[in-house]
Amino acid sequence: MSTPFIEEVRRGTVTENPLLRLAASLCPSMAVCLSVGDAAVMSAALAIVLIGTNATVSLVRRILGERTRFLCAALIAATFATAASLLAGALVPATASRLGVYVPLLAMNALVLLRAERFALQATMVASIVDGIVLSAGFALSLCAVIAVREVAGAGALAGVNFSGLHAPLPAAALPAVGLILLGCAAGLAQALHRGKGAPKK
Amino acid sequence: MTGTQLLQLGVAAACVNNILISRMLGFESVLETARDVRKTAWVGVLVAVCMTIGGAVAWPLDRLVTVSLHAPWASTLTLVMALIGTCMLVESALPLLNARAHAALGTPFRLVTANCAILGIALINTGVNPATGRPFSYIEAMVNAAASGIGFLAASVLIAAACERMERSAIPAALRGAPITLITAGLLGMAIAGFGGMVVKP
Repeated sequence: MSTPFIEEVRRGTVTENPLLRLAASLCPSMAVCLSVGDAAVMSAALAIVLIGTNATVSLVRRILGERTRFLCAALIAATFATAASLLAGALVPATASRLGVYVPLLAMNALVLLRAERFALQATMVASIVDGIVLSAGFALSLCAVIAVREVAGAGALAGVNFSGLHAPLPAAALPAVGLILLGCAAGLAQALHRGKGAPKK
Repeated sequence: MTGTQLLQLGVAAACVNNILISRMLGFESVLETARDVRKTAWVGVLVAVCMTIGGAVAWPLDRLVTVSLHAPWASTLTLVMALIGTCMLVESALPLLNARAHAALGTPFRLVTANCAILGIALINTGVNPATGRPFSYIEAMVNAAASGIGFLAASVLIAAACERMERSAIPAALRGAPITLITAGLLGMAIAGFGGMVVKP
């Protein structure tokens, strides 16, 4: 692995304002995921779409014209989103029907399109796949962490197992609006940690 | 559907099931432009126009593919192709139609074409209308798309206005930028959730 490649992965995950992008790409999932199980299915679907799109876009990058490359990247992402949606419908039908349109919507996910444009169009296939794996893992970790807080607060349970004996400590946590506030708090925490690590302070 | 039911569908799409706050689609553009009301408003207008025209184009194409050609798996691909085509046409017509909007936005490609709210409404329109229990008819799909566009414009301008005002307040450094935008949107969402009793929820 060459140094510029590692530097690029670092830039995508740590230094290059990942917070805003990650928050934007997490938003749709926050609307439907109420338990860690939902979040895991969503993360797996995103991994399929992100890794697949990155790999395919970097394979065909030389034949894409300047004006059509966004359209091609979006169509490739839509293909993988369809595959992820069909797969989810076959393997976990109950969760898939609860997630509804949000799985095929991964075709227009901010993170997928950004990485296709910024990274996969310039990088080799292996580098693009590694980039996809790193970012999907980041997405899965942050989504599961926020949804775990939401599930504990909303249902007193974790991954469907009720450990608190309470029915619903804070039922409002299931509302989309509270999901947004939770995501905002998580983003604030991430920003505080990021600034603490010597990032440029404004 | 009677006129009253159509009106109810429109109010539900614009307020209770607001595409931005309740369904959390399209946040990537709001997070980017939130501190500039004028720019946010132009992006909102463009998204509303693309959503309405795109909805009018995408629904018949989806019916053609899923019902006439018996290929429901191609639905997402068809929608993505139709919507990106529509958005690209609207964006290339923008300098001719409104020079001021073009000056304010430059090339709004990432903000409008890559906005998942437009695909989100098209996908919702291909499903079942929760108010009638049947698939959306063309008129219902059009009302849903246009009302959601208006809802997106209204919600994004409200969020941007609140954020522009907060620029002059002492916000903790960790919350500056995306986190405070998300929290503001969440508080606005709680207010909008108050309309929940008025209309049928999906």
